[in-house]
Amino acid sequence: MKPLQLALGVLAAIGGFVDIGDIVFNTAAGAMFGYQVIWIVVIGALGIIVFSEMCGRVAVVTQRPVFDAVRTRLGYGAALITLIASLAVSLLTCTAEVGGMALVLRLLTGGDYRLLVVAAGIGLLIAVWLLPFDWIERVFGFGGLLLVAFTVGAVALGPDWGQLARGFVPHVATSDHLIWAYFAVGLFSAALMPYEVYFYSSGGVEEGWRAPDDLRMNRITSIAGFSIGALLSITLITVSAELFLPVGIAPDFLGTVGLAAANPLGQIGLLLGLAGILFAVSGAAIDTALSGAYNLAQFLGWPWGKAKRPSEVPRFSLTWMVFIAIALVVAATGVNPIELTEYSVIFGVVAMPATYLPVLLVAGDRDVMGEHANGRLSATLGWTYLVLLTVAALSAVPLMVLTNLGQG
Amino acid sequence: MGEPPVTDVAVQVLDQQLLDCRTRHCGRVDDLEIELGPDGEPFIRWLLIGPSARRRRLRHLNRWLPRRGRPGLVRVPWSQVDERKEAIVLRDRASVLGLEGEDGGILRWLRRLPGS
Repeated sequence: MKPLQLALGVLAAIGGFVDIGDIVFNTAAGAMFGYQVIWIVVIGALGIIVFSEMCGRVAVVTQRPVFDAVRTRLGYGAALITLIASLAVSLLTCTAEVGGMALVLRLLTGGDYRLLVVAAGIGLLIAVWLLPFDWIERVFGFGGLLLVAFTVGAVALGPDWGQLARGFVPHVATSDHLIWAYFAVGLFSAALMPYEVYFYSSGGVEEGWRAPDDLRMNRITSIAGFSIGALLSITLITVSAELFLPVGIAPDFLGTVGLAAANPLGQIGLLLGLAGILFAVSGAAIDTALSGAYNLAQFLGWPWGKAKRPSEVPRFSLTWMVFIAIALVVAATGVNPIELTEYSVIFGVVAMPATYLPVLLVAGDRDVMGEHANGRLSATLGWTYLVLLTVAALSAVPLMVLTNLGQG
Repeated sequence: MGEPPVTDVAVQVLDQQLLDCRTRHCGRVDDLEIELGPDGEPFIRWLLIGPSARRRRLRHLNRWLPRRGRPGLVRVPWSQVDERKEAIVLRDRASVLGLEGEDGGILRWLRRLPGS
């Protein structure tokens, strides 16, 4: 295992953890409930660590990505429903991310929102076309690390460390139980968005991960990368709890979030924070578009792979292009990306049980995985999370309707 | 030790990835045709690949789906199966078996772009 390769993988995972869903839900929840939502982010982060490690392990041992398991384990009918749900959620998320890119670009340039949506979409098409797979991961993962500006901002705000520490202990200290539950499902879902594992496991197959070295790399990347990524999420909650909660501001615009980094670091901080958001949402837009193409190609058995020349994988290449093009057109209609994000995160949780169940089945199958099948800890955690995901999936849409997207 | 029962084999191969002799992905086993041999024993005659085969598996939902002009079904004889492991490897090239899909039009368009 090369230390540099490992470090790069971990850094990319840290930067790639946060997307527009995390930014929207973490800042909104922090502004409304303060530190008491931190433990939900921790539970969500542990969930994505458990499942991404499992997906990566299956990719290393079998050279098969997640949607291969979905099709072979669930059968055609159930897999088709999972495919449709995952494509719809990935497209919704991709559109929200493209809209988020345009919002940040408008703050940076003052340009027209719709023109910036078009520029963002075309920029994404060019970036995915030109950049090799590992460079996509690194450019946008490392760029996302600029979100550390918010960590500096959070520390400089002098947070109440005692309250912050208590946030890690599960508790609910509000009378608005329904709204709290809506945000809890949103935070949990934002951390576990299925496109992350579609992309992660397909990437593992693309990069030709092999046992035993890459098993260790997969474990370290999942645990270290996503844990530290979750700290960036907690930073956003901290900033919101310190800046917005006391004065009753709901950070409905990405620009409001950016102000958090400007507070201690001035204009440089604002620029770094906004650049971090731009890289994070751009990377997530690419991940979602490629995830859509991965899923469709793997479901139908087409040749696929970003590492291959587009002419070797024509239907796969056309699919990610169409994905970005649709996202561009929908975002350019002027639909509110923040609202779209809430829908994508809430509907995302509905698709989760059908995504993670086949992963759990394959990872636990000794005939397929041999000595690398789930041990007692992985199996217990995996099945516990599947129960949690099912509860979240069943309650997500009713909570969204009952709380009017958390507005009360 | 004899061959496993045909139903077990069918469950193992259904929905599996197909690779041609050059290990190129060329679809999934969407359905199977099982026939009775002269000895009265069932055997898998064809692997079925394509939209028509997939539609048949949606049973009642099938009748509500819009019909396309072309049937979209490729039959590959079981004798083409070379290996059965994590994927099913076929003896011939995808193009020989009619499993190239509808790449032609997309390829012509993609090749106009630099770096394709």
